[in-house]
Amino acid sequence: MKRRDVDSLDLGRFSEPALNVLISLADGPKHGYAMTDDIEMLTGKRPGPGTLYGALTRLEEAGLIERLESSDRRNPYRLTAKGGRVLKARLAALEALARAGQKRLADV
Amino acid sequence: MTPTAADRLVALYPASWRARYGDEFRLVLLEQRLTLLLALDVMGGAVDARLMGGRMTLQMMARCAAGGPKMGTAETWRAAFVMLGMAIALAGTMMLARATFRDGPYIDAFAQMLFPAAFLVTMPFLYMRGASRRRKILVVGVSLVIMLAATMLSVLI
Repeated sequence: MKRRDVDSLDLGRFSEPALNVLISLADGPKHGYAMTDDIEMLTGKRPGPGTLYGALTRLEEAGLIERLESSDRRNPYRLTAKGGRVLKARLAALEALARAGQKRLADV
Repeated sequence: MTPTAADRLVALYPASWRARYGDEFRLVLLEQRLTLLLALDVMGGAVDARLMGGRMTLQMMARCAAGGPKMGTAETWRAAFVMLGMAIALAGTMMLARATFRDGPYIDAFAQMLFPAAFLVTMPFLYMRGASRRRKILVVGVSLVIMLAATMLSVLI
């Protein structure tokens, strides 16, 4: 896991929504509204459209996702290769953190 | 929400952002119920989108400055004074233009030009210190004209 890949998702207050977007796109392209529903299903919290598009704008500029052209104006987004790599690295870091936390709790 | 409410919320975003995301963002809004929380979230997003362009320019300038020219303390202060003065003068002009002509795509586009223009005008005090006066005027003038033309073009396209 490269430190740079983990840091690529350091987007200030948009880091968490951005991670949710990447996870939502991990199983295939989705447009904005489908992502909103999917993230609500994953996290139990529905992201506001302003927050969602703040994250989408940053992810697209960072080259982690790309927009697919569509005829009905609901342009779907998909993960880029870099986005997939960054997501894997970020999830691995979170997994390691969770494991360390569980271990400390078990040791108490 | 109603198309009118969606249009009003989309209109809060800068023109350049609307050109790229406006249509799909409006569709997402149309499929949601208008609540106070949702409206606040969109307003926050609009403020963020308006600040984002300027912040990215500043980050780019900071990166340039990190690998910038070797200068003495007096030269550094002079260049900093010119850049800050130009940025304040241009920001004042922009605020005056906004107050006079209200918000519009041209004003938005010129707002994006603000910091690069201030940087360009500072060039004679940074990288071009050794150049002749004619060369400084030519390079800065031509660059400003190209930047202005590209800005106008980005609004017209």
